Amino acid sequence: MAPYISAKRKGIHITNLTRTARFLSEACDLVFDAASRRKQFLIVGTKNKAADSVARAAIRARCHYVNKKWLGGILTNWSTTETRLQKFRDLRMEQKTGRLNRLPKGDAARLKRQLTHLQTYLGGIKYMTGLPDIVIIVDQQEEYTALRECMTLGIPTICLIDTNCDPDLADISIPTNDDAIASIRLILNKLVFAICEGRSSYIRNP
Amino acid sequence: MAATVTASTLSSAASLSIRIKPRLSIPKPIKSFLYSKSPQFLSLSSHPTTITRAQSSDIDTSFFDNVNPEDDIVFDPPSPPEDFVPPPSFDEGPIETEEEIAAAYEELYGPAFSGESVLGNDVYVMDSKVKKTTGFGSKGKKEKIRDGFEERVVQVRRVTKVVKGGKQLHFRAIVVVGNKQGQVGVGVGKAKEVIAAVLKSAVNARRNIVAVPMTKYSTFPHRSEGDYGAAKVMLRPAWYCDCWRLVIAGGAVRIVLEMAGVENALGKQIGSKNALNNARATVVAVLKMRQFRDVARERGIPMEELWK
Repeated sequence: MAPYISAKRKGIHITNLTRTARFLSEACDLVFDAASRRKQFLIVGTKNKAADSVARAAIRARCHYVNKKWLGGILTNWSTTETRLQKFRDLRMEQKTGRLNRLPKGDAARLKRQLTHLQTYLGGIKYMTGLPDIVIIVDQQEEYTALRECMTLGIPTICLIDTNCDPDLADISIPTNDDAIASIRLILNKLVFAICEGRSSYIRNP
Repeated sequence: MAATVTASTLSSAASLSIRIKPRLSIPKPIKSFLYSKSPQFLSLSSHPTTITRAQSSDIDTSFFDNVNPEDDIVFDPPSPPEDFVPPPSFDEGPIETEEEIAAAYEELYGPAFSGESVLGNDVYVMDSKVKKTTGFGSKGKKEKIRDGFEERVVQVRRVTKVVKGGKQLHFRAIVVVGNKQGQVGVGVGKAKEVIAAVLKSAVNARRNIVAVPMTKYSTFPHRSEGDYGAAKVMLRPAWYCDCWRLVIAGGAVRIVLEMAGVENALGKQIGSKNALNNARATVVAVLKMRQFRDVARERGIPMEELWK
């Protein structure tokens, strides 16, 4: 990480922002290209500070997201994740048709608890039909399992990296401060804007 | 403060545009440029047998020929046009109702697993796409031979785990998968039934497939040894005069070589006779082999020198 740090003041590393800007523009290029080719994105961010903004950014960009804990094997064990998603969908259908009210209280309570459980963990990926094409990870240290899964499957990743992370793991790593909500929101803003632009450019000329 | 990245940079940085391949193999120009101290460091650190040739399909990196790594990068994107208004962040902007969000998602991805369909598509559309392994509608083992790979079982063993209640029995199957054109894979799988174990091991084998270097007479380029655990395997090509059109090898080694499509070879298991380890050792031995053409190209000498 030494090339990306410009100075060290009072024990705090200051990232070199020209390099960050360069990486960010590359990432936006990649994301724009991918969106204009109709690729699927996944945004992963489980820090409780960033969870809310990740969800909103993903909804704005119409991407899949993982907000709460990243369950191990979401991507590598995709067949099992699909089983869970099917169960989620069946529970939703039952709730909508009102079958849950006709069951005895104990069963209904159990199913409702399962539904909320699945909603928190899989709510963001309920529209995902297959493996995503690009994954955006907010904090590399926190999301190490997610990064490892993407590497084994060969999925390109964009990662927001702090000074204690390894920049060689992800395909494009953007050195930022991942503890500050403002910096995460700035980067997510740019990426989301690039995704939206890419999608609209696809709509204009497919 | 970071320079604002605007939409115009997206077009200006077209020289850095990255083509998306399923396995993203960007040669990472920026990182090596920042890390390397001198050009000699790069050539010393590269492993001699894995020099990748720059192909014309790669990104054009002649941009980095004159740069000095000690320089500070100056990032000056083109300034935004006069009437450019930065878009609202994802928090501000119009608040969308749940219905609008669901409609937008459904337009992009179809109803998938959401359980509701705003645009009137079939909610159970994913059932036909997801393979059901159990249940009435599917047969148990319909995926016998798919995508051109032939399977052969090397060994099926019954293994036991002793627990407080008694012995738990499982079956462990070792399967070698290959098309006869130079691709093999060895896989292991355990299950409570023999057939399930064989299926699992076939899936595992298809995940680790290896390419066998072969000459046009379907034999190896040269001798090689490989070991895995306590198993050591020696592989030798065959010449036209002796043992032609024969694979002289025992057990696991023979099955691996046959599945690879090698027709003339000698193989010997030196060391342990364990089937799985010998199969893996043959794969290791095969990975060590190089084609004459590649070695001549890397060393920069004509091929005739190699046969002296």
